[in-house]
Amino acid sequence: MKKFIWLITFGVLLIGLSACGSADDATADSGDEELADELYFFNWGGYGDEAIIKDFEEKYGVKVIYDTFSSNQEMLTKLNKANVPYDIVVPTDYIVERMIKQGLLAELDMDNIPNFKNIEEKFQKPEYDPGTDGKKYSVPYMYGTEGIAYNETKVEKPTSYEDLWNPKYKGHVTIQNDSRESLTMALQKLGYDANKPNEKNLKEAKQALIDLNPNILKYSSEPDADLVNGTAWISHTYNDSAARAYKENPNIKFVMPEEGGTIWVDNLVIPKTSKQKYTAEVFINFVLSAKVSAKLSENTPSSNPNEAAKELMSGELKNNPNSYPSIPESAVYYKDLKPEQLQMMNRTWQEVRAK
Amino acid sequence: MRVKTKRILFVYSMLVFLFFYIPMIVLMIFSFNDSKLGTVWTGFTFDWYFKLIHDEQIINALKNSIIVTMITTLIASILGTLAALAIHRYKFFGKQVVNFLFYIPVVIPDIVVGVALLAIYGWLHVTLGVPTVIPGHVVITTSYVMLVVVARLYGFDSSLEEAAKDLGANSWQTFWKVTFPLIFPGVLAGALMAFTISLDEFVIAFFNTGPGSGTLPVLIYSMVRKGVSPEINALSTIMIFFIVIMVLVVGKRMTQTKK
Amino acid sequence: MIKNIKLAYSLLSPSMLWLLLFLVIPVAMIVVISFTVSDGYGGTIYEFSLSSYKLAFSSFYLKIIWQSVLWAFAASVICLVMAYPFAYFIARVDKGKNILLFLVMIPFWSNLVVRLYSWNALLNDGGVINNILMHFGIISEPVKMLYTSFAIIVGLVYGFLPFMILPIYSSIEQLDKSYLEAAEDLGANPVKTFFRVTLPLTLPGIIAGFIMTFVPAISVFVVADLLGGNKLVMVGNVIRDSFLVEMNWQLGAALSILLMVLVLLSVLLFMKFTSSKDKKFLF
Repeated sequence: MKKFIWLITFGVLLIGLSACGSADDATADSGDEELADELYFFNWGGYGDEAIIKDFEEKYGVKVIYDTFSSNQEMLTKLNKANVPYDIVVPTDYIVERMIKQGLLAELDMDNIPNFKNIEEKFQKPEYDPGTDGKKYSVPYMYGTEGIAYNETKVEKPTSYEDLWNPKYKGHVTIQNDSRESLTMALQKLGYDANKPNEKNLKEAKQALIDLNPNILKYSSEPDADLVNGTAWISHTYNDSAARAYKENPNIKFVMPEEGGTIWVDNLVIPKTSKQKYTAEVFINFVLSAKVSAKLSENTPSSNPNEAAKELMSGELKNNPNSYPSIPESAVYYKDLKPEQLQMMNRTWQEVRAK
Repeated sequence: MRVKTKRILFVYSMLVFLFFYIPMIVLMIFSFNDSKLGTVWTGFTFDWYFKLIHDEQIINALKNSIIVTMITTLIASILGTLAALAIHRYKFFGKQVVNFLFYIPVVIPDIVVGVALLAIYGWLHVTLGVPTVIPGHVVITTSYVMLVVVARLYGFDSSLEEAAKDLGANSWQTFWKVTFPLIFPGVLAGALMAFTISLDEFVIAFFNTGPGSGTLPVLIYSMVRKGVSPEINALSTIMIFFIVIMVLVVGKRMTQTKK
Repeated sequence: MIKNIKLAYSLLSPSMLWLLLFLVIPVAMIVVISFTVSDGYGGTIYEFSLSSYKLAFSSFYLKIIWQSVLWAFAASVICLVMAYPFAYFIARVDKGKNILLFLVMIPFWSNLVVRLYSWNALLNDGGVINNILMHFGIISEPVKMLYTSFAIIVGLVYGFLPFMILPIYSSIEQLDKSYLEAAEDLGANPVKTFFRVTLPLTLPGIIAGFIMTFVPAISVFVVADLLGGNKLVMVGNVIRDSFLVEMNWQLGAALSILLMVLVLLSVLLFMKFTSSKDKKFLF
């Protein structure tokens, strides 16, 4: 009996050790210009990029190990705490800015990414990674905006965030379920700078959102289904959510508010911990080629910053009005804020929800 | 039991079954729904089943889930049953501590286990993968196995064991011939519980998986932002039918051996 | 007897070792983290501080915790009411017991997220239930069910019912029938027999079931995610958000410990109300 038990204990420990063992044997590759066998790719869930990954695997004989996340914070947590040598991750613009600041990203060798020329010029030198002093850390993958999605059979065409407060829409409004995004919307509605939250203007934003409460159906960052089935009439959301909803129900339209709204860009970057930078750059270049990028757009309604790819897209894709809404000059990018500001926003948002 | 009571019980139980199965039926129906955003019916299609077969990501997640669940169930059943025997049978120094230790996983939110393990793995530079999910799953399931087996032992007539010993059986024989068959339903119930918890467990798996090692619940959760694909409904439908067939086969064999 | 004690220790050592390595030590680390300072980006500054506990004890979090306790308790009571007669039926059925048990488990081998999505389709304004009720003229306008406390309780009951059924079933199944016969021979009527004999003897199963339902129900966050519309949140949601959205491990750790202590206390309190005999089973 005793022996039997010790045997189990032993087996148990073995499993534990086998998990640890693999940690130390990987010594860093020198980054030679040779393709590695495997590539770790960590992307947002639901981009539908399985098809292009398969094409890459076939063309270059590199196995892509693909993993998905559902928020920037989740990606950062995994990257910082989990000791996984991801080769490519996909942070949003202001997170790129933070990661550069914290020294988490490897500088890209743009000679390996000639297809970067396919990217629309306005996305080539964004504020969050301007590429000054010749250092470039990120390449845009997909972009989109935050504005108002609405069901044209239920509401009049909205022009401003103000319309969400219309008492006629009681119980049929959704806004983003995110402290930063929802409070920024309220700040914009009140006429404040989206990237300068402080105690005073957040207090006003909080009151505005509390006033909105009777109208709220739910706080959601994916209101697509509710829009399609008619439960939600008007939503503060992303244009790609609206584009997905449009495919199911053509009455769902999207418009940018006159306050400006926001723009986001998801970017391909290489963490410093990557052991096969060259292969990662080859992958990035592959994704940026016009044909591949156009194929990617077939599976995701997000806006594609790849100009060359747009020419290859089918009419159906280009004709989804919500994928490429007209963006006003006043639309802004999120900037990375100070931790105190973020904490203040989190607290304020919790107080809104607790009402 | 009186016939009337029996009838009421029967009707009541059927209603509970209805509660169990109506959402399942809805789930299955939506696996044939033409719409990608599955809360309204738009038309009939088999597409999701074809897409599913070719979806490497889902197949891979399913494989990971099966590995994690099987190993977890095995380890938890053994550890839990052994512990239950000791706890029920013997008085020993530190029993309070042992009991307390087994209650921690029951009263601790899963998210704490997941995060705490992530902190430890990070600290020890362990690379995350399928094996790193298993320790957490065993932690949360072992106590359940132990509880169920102890509940079984509680009404267990120890005179049977004494009788076996009086008849000259040694401890080993007594265990396998008398004790184990009697507690087996408890062990089975415990194992079933561990299996169910582990297969559906999301939080710990979420924090403790690495690239390519995400389990099915982790994959599904990551889809939430851009809409859960009806492929998942299709997969659930297939899994349910697979398990039903398995149950029928095992059930038949069990009744046969009983005879 | 000494030999037996050795045996007891060796029976226990594998599980104790496992729990020590993968539970006690990691949780101790979380306790340490809860007393440190956050750098605002998910990192830790190792300075002693009670600031995260101050935040955790703010009225916002206490309100959510209280709300979660109420929901989880209501769900557990409903589970008990549904599960007991059901488990009794299965335990006393003449044949096909195993098949019935498996039928209980089958829905739970598909994913919780997917199952809750189905409830979304059942409960929404244009959903199955509203349509049926309107079709038969019972109601004239859709009843708002989704994103209400009702939806959350339905989700909790649906999610954790088997954890109530299984232990109760197990305790009824092993109930010695001779006690019941004895009671009847002594002239007790069935109702009396049930309350005086059956119920007390199956109490351990009920307690186990209650704990196994209440505890996961209080900390789950997927239910509120899918059926509460983020307007209604449970303590599991705010803990998850502290770790993953706010990237404040200190707050998440402090809230987790608060919840852990609360659940532990309520389990102890719950056991205090049951007889000493049943306590033996638990501790």
